[in-house]
Amino acid sequence: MTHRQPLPGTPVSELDTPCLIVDLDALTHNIGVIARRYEGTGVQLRPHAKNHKSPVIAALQMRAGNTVGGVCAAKVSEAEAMVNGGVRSVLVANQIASPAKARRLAALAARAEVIAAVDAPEHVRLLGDAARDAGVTLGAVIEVNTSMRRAGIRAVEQAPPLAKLIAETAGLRFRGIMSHQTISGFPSREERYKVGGGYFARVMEVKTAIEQAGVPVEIVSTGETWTYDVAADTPGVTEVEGGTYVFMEMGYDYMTEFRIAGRVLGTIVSVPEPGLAIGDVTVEAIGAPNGTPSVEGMPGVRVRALTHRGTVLESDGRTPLRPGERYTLLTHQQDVTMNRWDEYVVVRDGVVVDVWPVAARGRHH
Amino acid sequence: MQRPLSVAPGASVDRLDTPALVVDLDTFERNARRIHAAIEASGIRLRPNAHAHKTPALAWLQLGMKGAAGGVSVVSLGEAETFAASGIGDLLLTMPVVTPGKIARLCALTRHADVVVPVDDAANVDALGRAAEVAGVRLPVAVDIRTDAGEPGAAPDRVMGLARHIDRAPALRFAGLMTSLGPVSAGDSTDAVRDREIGSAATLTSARADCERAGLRVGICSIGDVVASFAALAAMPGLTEIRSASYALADGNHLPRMDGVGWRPAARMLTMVTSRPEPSRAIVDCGQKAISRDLGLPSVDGRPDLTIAGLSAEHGFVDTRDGSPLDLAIGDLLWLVPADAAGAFGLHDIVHGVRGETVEAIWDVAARGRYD
Repeated sequence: MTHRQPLPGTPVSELDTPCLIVDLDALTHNIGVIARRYEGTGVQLRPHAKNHKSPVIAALQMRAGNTVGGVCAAKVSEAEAMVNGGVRSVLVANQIASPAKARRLAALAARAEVIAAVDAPEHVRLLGDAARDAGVTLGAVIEVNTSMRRAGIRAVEQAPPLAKLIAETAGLRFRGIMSHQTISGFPSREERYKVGGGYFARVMEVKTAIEQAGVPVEIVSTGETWTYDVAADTPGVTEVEGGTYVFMEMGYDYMTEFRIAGRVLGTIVSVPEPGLAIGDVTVEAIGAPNGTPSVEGMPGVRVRALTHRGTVLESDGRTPLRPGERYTLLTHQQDVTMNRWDEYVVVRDGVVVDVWPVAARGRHH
Repeated sequence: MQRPLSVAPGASVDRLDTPALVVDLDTFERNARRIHAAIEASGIRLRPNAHAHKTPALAWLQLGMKGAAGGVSVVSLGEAETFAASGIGDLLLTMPVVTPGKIARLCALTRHADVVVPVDDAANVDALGRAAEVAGVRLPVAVDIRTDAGEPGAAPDRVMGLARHIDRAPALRFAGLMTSLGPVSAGDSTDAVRDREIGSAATLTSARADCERAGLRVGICSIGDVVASFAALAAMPGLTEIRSASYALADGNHLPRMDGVGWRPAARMLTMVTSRPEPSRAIVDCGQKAISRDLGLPSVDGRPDLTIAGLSAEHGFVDTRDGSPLDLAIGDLLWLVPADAAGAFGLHDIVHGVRGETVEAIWDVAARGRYD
């Protein structure tokens, strides 16, 4: 971890590299888009903290309005970072599988509203035991698989008995259901509504089945950036677990109402032959799970490879590459990139305005 | 900052909060000794590439073995600062340092450690020379020879000119020659990796002979990162040191191409089954944010019947290869072998040193995040 932080007022051009910068205007714009869209609708945002891992950004999201007043977290230790940063409600969109982690979640429930996702009776037992031991109430939602074949119940019939089990378990409170979905490629608005709407219809089937079994469903938590608008037009969805929209990424650039807010700056350290350069942003500093990052603002320059030693850049000649020159990379998966950094260097109009810790970086427990 | 549940040294390894980065110390030492033994008699020294683990405690284990060089190699100046602070006084940077701010830091660090910096550009030699003069230090500088298309370095016919340029600068010292090999990729055969290593070494030693004929003293002649041909390189006259990132950790990308047979991975991730949504699928708590899939997917150690079907940011997908029912329950533990150990270390603040079934030490991955 580095101990040097740029002072406010430092021009972006003078930042040491590699450096992760966040454009405050773009960030504020993105947060505002969803806050305004949900005004007067039946749906609210539950911002996903896994994307920014920052209580500061969570506070900006909640201040913008039309949120549930809390966040999602992917892990128990991430939820702790959010509660420690002042967040009052956390939905851990993941399964608790060990007594120790359940105890830790129960301890957190003494200070905030805590809801966890379950998809099997074992999770219910672990959470119930921990909640009773700690003398707290833990909320539980059933995770429903609709698109990713990840965790989550696979059949509608699994939901009513699990909901009843939760409702009957002392220390737990059944809150509802959650489901997460992805889409690949560059879908049109019509495709997003069709595919996303289809997923939401399956979520609603589960809701109806649970209600028909006599258990009230208070929370229907589903959708992401690519369906934030679909969710607002789908009666019954109560909250959206949106996260990507905050920083945006190249894979989501069909969502044109949002702007890129996160960038990694690098410096060329070697030009071993014309048209080929090595820069100082390593694979660890940005991550490349969905393909190599894009180069911004240098026509004809692309990333040929990303290694532990740096970025291999190649140019078709339109933009000459020189040692000492700066370059800017745009990630294809923002949350993986943000998890590689200890701090956000926050900039506006080309000047540093603040530095925010990535408080939950590395909190994968 | 990472915050696992507290487990003290002396505890059983299955008590670790998951996902947990674990180094099996017996395996780490056995792997490292094996390579050190292969080269020891030749007089060539093994310089561990500490970027592989970013952990001073592991670097010191490597440097304590016979056959080790006096220090480590690193990628970034931030890593150099971290390892120097741990007491290592001999460092080799393997990427050029070009910006004024970083050159000033390098000059400052030179007062605490011997840090050799590579160059492939005359303007960079001038910038280093001016800064060193102002700072009142003498920087040891090596000429980086390009022997791999994706790496920095000067073409062989420019090496002599750069060496003389360094030699003439009053505040610089010509330290010798080095070359860096690119990463091993999935499609490379062991023979291809070995041919590349030996070919690069031949270019390097030939440049050394040229320099010496011209009256330049070549201190170091360093090749890295070597994977496949330690014994063959040790027999080549003219090389002084071999750098290697993978030799002690032996990760998934390097294991199939390493010199000889019988290697075991030393770095592994302990992960827990959190969901059993389908008969032949388990979900584990180790995803891309804990192990990375930038340079390949992990495998499940000791379970050739299982495959990692995918990693999302927070989850791993474990399937049976043949679609048969899976014998795992929620709460069960699995060991994952990272494809890229260096990437996995880069995601953790701490690494657990384990011997047998017992946690022996908990160490800071002190250079994690030091991309600077």
